Amino acid sequence: MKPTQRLPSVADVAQINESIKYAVSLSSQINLNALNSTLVANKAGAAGIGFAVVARELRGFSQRFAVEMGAMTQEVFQLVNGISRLSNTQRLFRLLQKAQQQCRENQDRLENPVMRRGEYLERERLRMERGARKIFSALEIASKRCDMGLMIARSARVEAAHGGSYQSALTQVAGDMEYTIGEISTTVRAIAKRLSK
Amino acid sequence: MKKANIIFEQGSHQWIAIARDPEKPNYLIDTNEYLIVDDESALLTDPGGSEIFPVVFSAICEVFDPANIKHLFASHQDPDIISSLSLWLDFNPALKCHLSWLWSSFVPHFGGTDQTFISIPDEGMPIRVGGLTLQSVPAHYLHSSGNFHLYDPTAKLLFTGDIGAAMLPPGEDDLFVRNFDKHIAHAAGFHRRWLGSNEAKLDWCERASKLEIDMLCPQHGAIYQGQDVERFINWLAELPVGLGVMRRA
Ligand SMILES: [Fe+2]
Ligand SMILES: [Fe+2]
Repeated sequence: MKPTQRLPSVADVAQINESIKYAVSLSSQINLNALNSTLVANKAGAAGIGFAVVARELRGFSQRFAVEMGAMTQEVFQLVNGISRLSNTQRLFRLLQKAQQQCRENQDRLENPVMRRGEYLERERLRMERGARKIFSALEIASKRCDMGLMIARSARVEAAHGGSYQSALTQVAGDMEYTIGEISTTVRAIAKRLSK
Repeated sequence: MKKANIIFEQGSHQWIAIARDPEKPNYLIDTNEYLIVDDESALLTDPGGSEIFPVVFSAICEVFDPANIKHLFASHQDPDIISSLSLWLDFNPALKCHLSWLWSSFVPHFGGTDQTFISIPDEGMPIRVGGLTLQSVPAHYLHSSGNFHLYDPTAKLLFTGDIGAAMLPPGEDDLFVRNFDKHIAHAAGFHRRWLGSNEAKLDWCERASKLEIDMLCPQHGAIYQGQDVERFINWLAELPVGLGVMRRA
């Protein structure tokens, strides 16, 4: 996100917040799937060992992802607060400016107030932009984490093939997880796109 | 555009009416603001909504240095009364806002800190502006449950907030009431619907009739003067208001 780009609207940020919640719920689904499939893999005995190792990796992925998204939710909360405050300040600034323009007498009386509001506005705007950029880079990291998650899910599919009599059950669940991580990844990219549009 | 009109002047003591604005967009209720001046101090009554701040401020600037406004008086908590507060405080953070104690933790949503507000107790209290002593006069439940008018005993002018308000049709933008009977028809609906209590209304009528009043200055519509003041008080005393009237309608 370039520093000159416009800030997202409150509606954008609210939508981003919903998408984050969706991505987190998908990742907890992964956690659950990985846990269940570990139990299945354990039943498969020696044939399931490889799968169990990969499933543990997937649980790690989902937990780290959830923690990072939690931190991002905090940032998003601050951003939505800041942006709504900003739009109010912008309105007040506009009204002060209008008052100054309309004054034919004593016009200098509003010089300082307009300047102070203007400076405050600029400072806040920069702060919000920094916040938005911070979220944006967190999203980039999350996106990379998803790529890794996808690779692990693919390994799970490979390991499932060695699952003996549990092969088809494990293949099924590995495919599900791969699909879900793909969905998480799409959601994360959509958030980043919305934030930087 | 709003225009400043001097409606009372005696030496350095003035009342300046910032009269309603014929050019204002229709979705905003039209208001009068009054600047009570003594020498180099002034109080502004019901400074108005934030959207009309530019016209109020620039109209005042034409006739008075706004830096000398030291006090704001808010008859009650409505947005058309005091939502411009944060803009006034941007202009002068030291401004004091006099307001019923009842609203002192509500109006800060429009701006201001605990340094800004001077709470008026239910029985009212004197407000000093320069060498003047103004009196805040209780007008509770008319229409707001914490509501004050402002009396200037020297000028014999009473600021009455929403009481006396009239919604005048376009074109009728005279500053003063010229034909009471014609005028009051535009005030009736407003008073009937907005005032909740006959008891409170009669209480106020009694209090007002004991004051010497040359002009009764409402926040909306035209100013009543001379005989029309008494006419208005008598008219209001007779007017049925409150829930009973609304149910019958
Ligand atoms: Fe009101
Ligand atoms: Fe009003």
